[in-house]
This record gives sequence, structure tokens and C-alpha cells, in this order.
Amino acid sequence: MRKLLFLISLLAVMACATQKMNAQVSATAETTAKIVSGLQITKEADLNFGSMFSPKSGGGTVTVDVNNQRTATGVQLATVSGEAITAAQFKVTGSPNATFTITFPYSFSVTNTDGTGSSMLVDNFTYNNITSPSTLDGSGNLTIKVGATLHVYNYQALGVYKNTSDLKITVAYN
Amino acid sequence: MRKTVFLLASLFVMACGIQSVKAQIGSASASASANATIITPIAIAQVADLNFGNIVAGIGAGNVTVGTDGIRTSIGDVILPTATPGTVNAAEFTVTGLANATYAITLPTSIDISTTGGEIMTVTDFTSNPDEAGKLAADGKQTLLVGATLNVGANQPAGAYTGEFSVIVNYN
Repeated sequence: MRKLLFLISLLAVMACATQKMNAQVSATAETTAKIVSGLQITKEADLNFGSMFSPKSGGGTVTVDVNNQRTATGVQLATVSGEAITAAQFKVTGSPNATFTITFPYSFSVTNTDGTGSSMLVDNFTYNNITSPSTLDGSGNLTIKVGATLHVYNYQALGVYKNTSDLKITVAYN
Repeated sequence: MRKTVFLLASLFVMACGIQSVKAQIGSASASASANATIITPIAIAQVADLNFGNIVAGIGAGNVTVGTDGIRTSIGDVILPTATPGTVNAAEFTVTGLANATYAITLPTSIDISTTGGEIMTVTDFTSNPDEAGKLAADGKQTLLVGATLNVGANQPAGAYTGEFSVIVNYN
């Protein structure tokens, strides 16, 4: 009988102890959850305008939309085999249904990789129906596609043009 | 007592560190590159004509072929005079365009060449070097050589036969 009583009291102490541990765990759980579902963004595709001929009678524009379709005014497009025309694509991951703000890029320039400093302006960004703030889906994902317009000037110097890191999307929890 | 103060101070530092980590977790950035290529239209210019040289026709028909290397050979009832061969060479073109670009070459299948008097021979089996696909060098140029086969008829009338043919190049 004494033995049993002892056992019960021991269980009681254990229960208390467990209770206490639970209390501690749940108190820190909030912080832990935030770390696990930290908002992340990764680039999935670059913005590729492809190849085009240098205009000889006034400049023009080349536009790539969010469906990877390319159109031009005043610029003759060239189709080069193996060259993909793509809108930029980013994937945002985080807490399911979380609301977050998006900082979209401003206009920037792409410069000739031959080092002569020749450049073209990229602006008029378009998105796949995404505005800021935006909401992640039930799986905690959202895809952001970015189309844009490239301004090609008269007698634009031949060569490959690239940007530095100006096509940047920043996301932040509200 | 000194020990306790030190402990409190270190705890304070730790708390600050965690706070700044949490701030970073809330936002993230990613960058994409934007790419475009400005190219020049591909162009082709004639440098040398295709010359089959002097040929002596026979009673029967024959063929004279000029290769892209400019060497001519014959089949059938034609004679290629060695003492007076005339001018023999493959056609030469210079293709210009975007550095390192590949392009497709389209040759004619058949053309007629004729004398001012209206006599005709047919030129067929055009060959080129490079073959169907060319590749411009780092300076955006490539030499394109074209040979062909001249079909000489039986008792082909003597005369100077001339004609024109076109070679089409296109970026791939």
C-alpha cells in the first residue's frame, strides 16, 4: 500500500514535469514556426529577349510577355535555333496563405558584353496578375512571372547584352 | 557578484543577435539576368564565278564536273584539253554576318547556260564547301565555294555559254 502510494505520487510528479515541459515547448513553438516557414524567393528563369537585327531606320522596341511571347515594333526579330524566349520567373515559398509585399524592379539597362559600354533600356514590366501585397497559395507557393520591354536604338551596336543584378524582386511578410 | 553581471551582459548580447536574425527571415530577394542579342543581317557577296573552262564536245554526251576545290573531271564523250584548259575554278562567295552564327545554304538544283545564239547546256548537281550548314568565324565571315556539273550534249555546238545562279544563305 505504501508502495502504491509512492508510485502514484511519483506519477503525479512526472505528470507535472511533463506538463511543465509541454508548457515550455508550446511557448517557444511560435518562434520556431516562423523560422521554418521563412519567406524565400528563388529565380527559375531569366528574361531572354533573344536575337534581333540592328535597326537601320529608327529604333524600336521588343517586348516579351509573361507567356514567353515576343513582339516587336520597328525592330526586325531574328529566330535563332536553340534560343529560347523567356519571361523572368521567380518562385516564392513561405507559410501557406501568408500575405506578403513585393518590391518590383524599376527600369534598368542591359549593356554590351563586349565592354564598349553600349546599352539598351529595359522597362514597362508586366506580371502574371500579381500585385503587391500578394498571398501565397494553400501550399505556401506563388510564381511571379516578369515580362518587359527592351528599347533598341537606331544602329544599335552588335553583340550580346546583359544586365548586372537589376532585375530583382524582393518579398517581405506584412 | 562580478560573475552575475557578466552573465547578464552576455545574455543581453545573445538576445540582440537573435533579434537581428528574425528580421532577415521576414524578407528575401532574388535576381534574374536579362539578355538580348543584336545581330547583323547575313549577307553573301560573289567573289569568283564558276568556270568550267575549255571543253571539246564529242559525238556522244558527257559531263564535266568542277569540284569545290576547283579541280575538274569529266565523264563520257568530252575532252578536257590539257594545253589550253582555259579558266577553271569553283565559284567563291563571302558570307558575312554575326560572329560564330550558323547558317543554312540553299543551292540551285539546275540552271541553264546559253550562248548568244541560243544554244543551251544544263548545269546540275551543285555542291558547296561548307556543305548544307555553314558557320561564320569569329570575325563574322566565311568563304563559301560552289562547284557543279555541266551536262554537255552530243555534238554540243561550240560557243561561249554563260548563265547565272543564286546561292541563298539564312541564319539557322
